[in-house]
Amino acid sequence: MLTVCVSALLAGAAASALLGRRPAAAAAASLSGLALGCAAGLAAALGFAGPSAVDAAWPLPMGRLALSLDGLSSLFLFAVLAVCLAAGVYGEGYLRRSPGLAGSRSVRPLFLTLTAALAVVVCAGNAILFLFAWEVMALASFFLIMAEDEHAATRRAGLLYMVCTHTATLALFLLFALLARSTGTLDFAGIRAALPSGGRLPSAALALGFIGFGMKAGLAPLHIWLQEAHPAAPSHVSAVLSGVVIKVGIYGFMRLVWMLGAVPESWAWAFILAGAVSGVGGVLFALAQHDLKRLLAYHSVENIGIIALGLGLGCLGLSHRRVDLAVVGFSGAALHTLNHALFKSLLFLGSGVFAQELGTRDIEAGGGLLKRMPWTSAFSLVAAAAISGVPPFNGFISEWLVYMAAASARAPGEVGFGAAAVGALALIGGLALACFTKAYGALCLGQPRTEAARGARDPGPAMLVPMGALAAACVLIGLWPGPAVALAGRAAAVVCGVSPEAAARALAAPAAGAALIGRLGAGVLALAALLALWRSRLVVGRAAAGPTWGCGFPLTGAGAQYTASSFAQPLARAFAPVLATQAHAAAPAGYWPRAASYATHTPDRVLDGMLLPAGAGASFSLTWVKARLHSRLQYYMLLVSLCLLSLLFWKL
Amino acid sequence: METLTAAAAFAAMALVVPHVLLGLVNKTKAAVGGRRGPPVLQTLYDVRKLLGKGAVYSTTTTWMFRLGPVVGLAATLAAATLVPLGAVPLVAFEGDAILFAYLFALARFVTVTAALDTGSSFEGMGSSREVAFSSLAEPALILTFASLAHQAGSLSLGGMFSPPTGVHSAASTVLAVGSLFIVLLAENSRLPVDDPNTHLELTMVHEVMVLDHGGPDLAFILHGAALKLTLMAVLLVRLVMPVVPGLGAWGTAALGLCGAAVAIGLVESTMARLRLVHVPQLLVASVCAAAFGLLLNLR
Repeated sequence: MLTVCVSALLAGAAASALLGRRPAAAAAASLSGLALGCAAGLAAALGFAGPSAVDAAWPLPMGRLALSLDGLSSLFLFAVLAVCLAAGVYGEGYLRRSPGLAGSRSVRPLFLTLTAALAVVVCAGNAILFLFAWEVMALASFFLIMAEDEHAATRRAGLLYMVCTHTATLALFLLFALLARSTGTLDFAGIRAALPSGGRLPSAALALGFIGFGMKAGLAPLHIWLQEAHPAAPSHVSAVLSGVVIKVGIYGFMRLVWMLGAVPESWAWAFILAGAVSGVGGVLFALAQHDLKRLLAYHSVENIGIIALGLGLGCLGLSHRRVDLAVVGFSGAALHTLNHALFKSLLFLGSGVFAQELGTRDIEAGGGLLKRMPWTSAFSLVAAAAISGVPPFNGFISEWLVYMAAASARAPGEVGFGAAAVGALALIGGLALACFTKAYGALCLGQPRTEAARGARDPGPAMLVPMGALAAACVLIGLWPGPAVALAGRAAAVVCGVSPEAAARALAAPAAGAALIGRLGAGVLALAALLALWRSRLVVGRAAAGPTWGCGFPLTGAGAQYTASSFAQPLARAFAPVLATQAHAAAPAGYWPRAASYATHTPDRVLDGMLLPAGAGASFSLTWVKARLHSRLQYYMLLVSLCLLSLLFWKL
Repeated sequence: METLTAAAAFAAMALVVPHVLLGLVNKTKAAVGGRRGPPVLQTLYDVRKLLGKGAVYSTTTTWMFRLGPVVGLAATLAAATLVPLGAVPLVAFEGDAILFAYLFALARFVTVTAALDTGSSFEGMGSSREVAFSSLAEPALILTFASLAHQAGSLSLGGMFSPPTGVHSAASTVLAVGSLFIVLLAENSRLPVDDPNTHLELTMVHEVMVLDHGGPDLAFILHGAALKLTLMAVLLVRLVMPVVPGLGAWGTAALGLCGAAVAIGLVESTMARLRLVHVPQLLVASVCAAAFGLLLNLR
């Protein structure tokens, strides 16, 4: 079934590339390839298709074409294919509606190649195949980000992505070289069986994995490419980038932990610290953004932080040999990965429609879209509530699992980890709610602020149906979490190296709690429906319409509404030392002021605040040295002799 | 029989007790101010009157505006099922404390989106303050829960808030009580964070978010707010009060709630509202108290 999945996707890619001149035929070829491939892959991931391992020789040294599905791969394959299917179907409608992309011949084949590469990455059983698919994935997503390369910002984002992804690949090459040197094989199962326990190897491997996988996942402070690349890409590609490409980094971590079998306690600390920094930092920087897709990109950093908190608690359980803690922690991380894939891709798909209708990604240009685009706005509301972590949606279930893992870290020497994770999660939860009420309120509620917002309309069903399916999945997992928790439990069982039955036993109490939460959530919805029914009885014939009460103030037009920046101002002020927001103000002057403006801009702390200045400084000083060297021969000879002398002393 | 008692207790807590509590707070404020004050059940009469009225819906609003009050009240009622009033709560499971905090987040989410749906700048202002303050109050609440959960060995409200056998003197409990009290005042828009009696929209937080709601919608919102105050007061009472001999669990709870009402009323009578920029400092202080209490527990 895996072979069918990958070959159908690749055949679709080839066919849509060959038919590139005729967009209708290319669309049909790519859609049928995508549908067939995803159907086969989803059937395999959910276990309907029986065992589906592939193992064939490959003429590359130490390489084998080995694909297999265990609990961990199944969960990620499910997330990859579900999101890619929804985004691909939506993408057809999106391409038709974008003037810059409608004639593109490369987007469809690249999208299918990306899907196939993602499927191979999460099922690969051999490091060479893994790295090969990883590079195909990186290059396909690079070309997809660059789809609209007529914009300078897109080219800049593409270059940054290229640099980051290859830094990550370099670290992964080193990682697998290290593992191969001490085990003599590049098969994942072989590495796991032959790895000597103890020593410095696990720490070195985890450090390299932290760079390689953390850069891909967008864990702070390695997140620098996300907030540039996600806005630059076409929206259905952003959905896949944020929904699944960064999750492959999480998969890599989990597979690495599975191979190592044991994790030093210090790395549990590292994950929890990185998770807390990513989570809180990501949501704070999201609060300060006006660009919808940039805001969503920072929320990916935040959610990767939540996942890293779960991973850290799981690693703590492994290092302390507490199977229950490890299973609950890894299950929380795995389930949040799946949930984030669903609601974040839904948010990006929605953002694509909003940006097309408004002609800009600036949320301040929206307003009142819930009236004008009822379906897109309603689906985005589900996603916004889910990512804010409120019940009865899926985001709460996985955050609650991470809370449960933190609460079960009770033994002395563990509670510190749990307390740190609980504090970070609580702060993230409140701030995420603030950020999404801000973005949703500015875009979809109130009165339209621009002409474009006044004339905005929903797209056709081809784009609405995928969004509706993702929204339904978010609600379904929130109300009936059993199957999703079980899926996450099987993934956690693989990472912890215990049998699925043992993992299910360790997860029994949290799973029962999650089921109760689902039932209470359904109760809340039913009660709200009853109250609404009662209200409609009470006010029947007595409900009148009128303008919004302006507190006696006559100027109540669209321009007098609270903006997103004003909405975020109290929190931006409270966290000003972290954000370092730059304000550009032109105050009204004179007795009859005409023009005044105020704009804020929050650059990234790591990229714009540290890396770019450091790079500019290095470039400046080296240019200075170069200019001196080439001015006189004597300087050059001095340098050569200094080099030789230092080499001599080093060898002495 | 036990189920019947529990159901009756829940109905009383959900319907009447919140208004008695508010009435006692108002009576206390009146007594300190030298007035006679409104009847104890005045807010219940208000709610009944509002239920009989019609409603005016702004033409700017959508179904989001009508969703707010009903989901808000439904979420608060669901939170009430998790709280132990006299004996055990209706629903209890390991981890229900987190659900309790997040059900309030759901109520906040729909209240804020309903307020933004009106397009009024005043309601936007109130929503902005509400989310800013509660994103700091939420860590304080959850860290307090974590500290109590560590003491009790369980993350269920029933276990964490089982009545103490004697008067607690442990420093961590004192910190938890202090932190919980500040969260109670902030989350329920009481002084010194928000003035429930203010008449100037520019200074309001919670009241200004519901300016456009009227009739049954306002009745749901007022009842939900009273219920939320009661739920948090019940938790505070369970934390401080040992079972008074001769009164039993129910009598102790009733006595404790009266005490909580008097305490809130005294705070409101003796304090002025803080400047808005100083409210986050108060909330951060409460987060610090909660975190310090947790640290003391971790020794």
